Amino acid sequence: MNLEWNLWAIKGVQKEQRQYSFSHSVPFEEYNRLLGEQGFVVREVVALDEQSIMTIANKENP
Amino acid sequence: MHDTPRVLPDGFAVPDAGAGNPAAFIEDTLSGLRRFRLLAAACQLGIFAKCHDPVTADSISASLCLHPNLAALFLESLASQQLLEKEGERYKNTPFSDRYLNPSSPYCLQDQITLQEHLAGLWDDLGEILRKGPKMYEPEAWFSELIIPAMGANARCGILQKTVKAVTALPEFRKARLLLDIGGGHGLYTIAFCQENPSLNGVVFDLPGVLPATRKYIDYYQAERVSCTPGNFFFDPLGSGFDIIFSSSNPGGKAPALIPKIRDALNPGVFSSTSREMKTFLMFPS
Repeated sequence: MNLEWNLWAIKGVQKEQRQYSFSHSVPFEEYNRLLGEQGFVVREVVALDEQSIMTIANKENP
Repeated sequence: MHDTPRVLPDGFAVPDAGAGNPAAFIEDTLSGLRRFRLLAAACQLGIFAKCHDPVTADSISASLCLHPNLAALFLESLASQQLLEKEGERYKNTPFSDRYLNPSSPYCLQDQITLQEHLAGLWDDLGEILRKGPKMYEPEAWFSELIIPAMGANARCGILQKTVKAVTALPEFRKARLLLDIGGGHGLYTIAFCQENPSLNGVVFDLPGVLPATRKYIDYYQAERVSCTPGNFFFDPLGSGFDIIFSSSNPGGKAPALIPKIRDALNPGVFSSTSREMKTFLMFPS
């Protein structure tokens, strides 16, 4: 629940209002896109269960 | 002259409550709280540790110094929630409570219940928090005392197994010699990876105040090839020469600014990560 997420704060950690979201983080798909732009090849996205996704990426050769 | 308030302001007309019964609605709002308090009290008192084998209410009452009549009603209430089974005059854990609530089970979720109790306390203080703002915590205490034990307990109930299975199936995994777990917290992923690959050494990188909690897991699982590096992954160097970089459920872990640091720390290889909506990223050399 977004309200509960906002009832507490951690010193030095910036959270967004949406539950489980933090400042400076981008959505999963955007992060994977940025990996591709910054020297990685996203080779697989694995659904581990209903809530869990794993990105597997390889560092590109320089 | 004041009108006298009438007991029946609209005569015999019953007020329109819409679709529901207002008293039942209010009663219903309490039902989740009752169930949670019942569960939390049972965990605090060690009921599920006592009820692995069938025991009577008198025995529980005597061993835990509980009021005998209330103890019997308490156990009945737990049975009504399918947390205990009653066999004659004896109570014992259900398969669910024996697996997830008995402290001797490897899948025990009591640390998750401890976290939820803490969050329930925030709801108790809701009025004050709404006036004064969010309750503030020191990061290291918050993570090491509440979040990490709860995440470790949750992980062992399924996502740890699924993640380790997926990672160990990758061809690079068997060849890897050094793995970095960014914001690794409990370290269970790294400990499991090192158990699956006897040539692998793992480094759990996390805040200095978090790592004593990590070391408890390392000691418990006798993970001699897992070490800890203190630091804040936003500000401190991650090290270098890693064959695998793993990141799971990190606050702020999907920050674009971290990508170059991860790339530089990695041999040409694999990166993996997850978050609470469990996004895991696994990075390997090419």
